[in-house]
Amino acid sequence: MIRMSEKSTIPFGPQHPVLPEPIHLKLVVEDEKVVEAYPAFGFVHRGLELLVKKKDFNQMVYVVDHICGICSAMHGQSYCQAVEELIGVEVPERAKYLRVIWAEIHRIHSHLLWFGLLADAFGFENLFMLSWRIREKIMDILEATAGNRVIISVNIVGGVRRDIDNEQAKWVLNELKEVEESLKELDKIVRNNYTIKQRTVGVGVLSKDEAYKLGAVGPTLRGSGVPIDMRTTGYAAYKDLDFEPIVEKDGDTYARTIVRVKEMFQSIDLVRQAISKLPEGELNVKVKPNLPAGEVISRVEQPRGEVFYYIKSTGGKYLDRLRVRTPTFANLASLLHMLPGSSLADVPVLVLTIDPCISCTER
Amino acid sequence: MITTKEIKLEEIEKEAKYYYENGYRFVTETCLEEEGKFKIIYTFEKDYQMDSFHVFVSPQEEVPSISKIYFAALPVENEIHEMFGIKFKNLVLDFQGLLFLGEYAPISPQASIEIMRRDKGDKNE
Repeated sequence: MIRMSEKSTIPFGPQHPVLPEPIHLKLVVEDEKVVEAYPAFGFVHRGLELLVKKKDFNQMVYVVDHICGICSAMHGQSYCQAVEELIGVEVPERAKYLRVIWAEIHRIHSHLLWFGLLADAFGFENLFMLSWRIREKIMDILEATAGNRVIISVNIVGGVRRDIDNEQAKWVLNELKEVEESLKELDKIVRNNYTIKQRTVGVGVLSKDEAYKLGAVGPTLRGSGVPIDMRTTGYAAYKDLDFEPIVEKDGDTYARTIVRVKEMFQSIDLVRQAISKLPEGELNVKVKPNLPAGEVISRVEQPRGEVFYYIKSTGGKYLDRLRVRTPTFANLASLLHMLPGSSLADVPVLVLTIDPCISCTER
Repeated sequence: MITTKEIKLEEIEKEAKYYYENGYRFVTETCLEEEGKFKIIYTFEKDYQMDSFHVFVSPQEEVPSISKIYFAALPVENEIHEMFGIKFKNLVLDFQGLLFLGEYAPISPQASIEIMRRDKGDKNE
């Protein structure tokens, strides 16, 4: 007897071997094909935006730093840039360059973490271990220069709190040379390995038009051929550095992987440029204890894409409103677009293809 | 500093269509409270230039959803509904207040203006 295919519902997450953080997807499947997908979040929701009513604008830097571990430095940077614009303070040039250095090291750390998780998602354990082994060196750089491996809290309103001296800068460059060599090995694997291509080529295709209209950001957008990268707007010291957004055209998981791998090399190059041009000078400027009234939007390119900070003040020590639109939040629409029609076995890869950060999304 | 133009509630869809047809990317919607009303700021972007408009919403008023025009607005509008209690008309997918908040979570936790109570219990927990 031949049975017609029936719809069944499969819960994916919140606890799942491939998920580093909890997300739940209700997947409606017909045989092995996903026909509908409904997400549910909130397992790590902390309501951090509300803390603006209890923490003053300086204390809020620590709060936004803790939105997420993987892109912590850029959360702090984006928030500080917004407050600095509101106050009308000019950050010292040295601080701008140091912000770039730590942001780019953070980008490498984030992409390597993601790469390991992707490899783990399709069962390539050796590659997972290789990727995270390289990442250890990056964590060592963060620890040596900022005092912490994950949440480095280097940004303050008005500049940065720590410096990188010449000797340390030389050491960072040496370490990055070794990281670059290891990344070349990883790059070779990505470009030639049968398993990676089997699991990623043609999976989760987003056309250029779809990615743009769905409001995708970061590698999810650039992997579909759209050259949008907030760093090109020239915030911090990016205006003085030479780089172009990295773009791939195929719009599938493989293209997004290649974008991230190339971005790691680009980040190393940007750190080298920033260190070679690092100007002498102060690390920060003092700011007044009270904010003026006003509204500001600040956007920064995190590893997952553009993060959007909106702040509003009516004066005083406390902000009236802080709104954070994280890149994963922006990429949710793309994920929901990619899941229907995919194979159930590809769901872990599709979830990871947007490099989801649930702590960011839920704040 | 940003400046946004104010439009009326019934003009939201027309305005969003204008941005869509002119090649703007949806960035986000931001909800805040101002003088006993909610203010929703809609932000779009084209060639790195942001453009925004805002509406004021009274408690109990329903806001036309732009999720049919910009699918990316779907999670944002569901989040605003949960956090502030504002209802959106014609959402492509209405999570009924359960996208971020669980069944027993506090109701509209980011709003001091109370406009929504769940049937069950009829009070904030």
